[in-house]
Amino acid sequence: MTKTNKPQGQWLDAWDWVKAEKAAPKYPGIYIIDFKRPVGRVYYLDGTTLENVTRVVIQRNQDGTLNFGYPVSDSFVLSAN
Amino acid sequence: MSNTHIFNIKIQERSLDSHALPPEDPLRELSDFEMRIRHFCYEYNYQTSIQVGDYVTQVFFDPDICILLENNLPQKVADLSQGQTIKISFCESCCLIIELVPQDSKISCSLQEFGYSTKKLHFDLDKNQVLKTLVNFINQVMEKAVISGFITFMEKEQYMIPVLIKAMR
Repeated sequence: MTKTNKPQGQWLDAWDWVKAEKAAPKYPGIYIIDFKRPVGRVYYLDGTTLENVTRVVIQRNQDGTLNFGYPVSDSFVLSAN
Repeated sequence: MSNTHIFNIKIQERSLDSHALPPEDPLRELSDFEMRIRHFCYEYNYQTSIQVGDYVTQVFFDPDICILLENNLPQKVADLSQGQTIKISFCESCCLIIELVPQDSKISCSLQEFGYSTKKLHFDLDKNQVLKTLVNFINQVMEKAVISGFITFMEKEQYMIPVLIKAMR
């Protein structure tokens, strides 16, 4: 886990990362995928932990590879729009 | 410069906190050079501040800057110098997309936070100052990788070819 100034997501099962890659659109961009089942937990800066989160955020690069992907809570949004 | 805001990237202190496991590549998807850059960023994990106007955020070599380097930051900088719009995203230590749109001698810069904040900001920047800052930053990072023995000087120069060509024009 990185030292950071935002909540950190942790996968429960690394193979879900592969499933997220397959589920994500093939176009470059940042996406949220809801697995509809627990895939991870989120550690907050105040020391609390949110278990059983079902959503992950994932970014696909121009070349189709992934930049990152990690579980996020329901309050995580991609834009205000 | 009077009507423009400052753009700055500063390498700060080295973080000695180890929160992540060493980089691995079990599927051998990365080149030897890319793996050595990953190991360098992991071992020499410097905190880095990014300032645009009065907006400041902190990122780290591992993984934020490492991802930028793997996504060919020198080519992006070269593209920017040639008038192309580029996006630089930080999605690990913070959730921020920086869009740089060249307009003559200026750069229109949009900052878009996402995730747990959706702040949007806009700044006008001086194009030469932005390009100089980005090139200097890449050079400083790669120089550290050379000094610490992870890559050779020739590898650094080869990696930086896109911005070196731009500098010669």
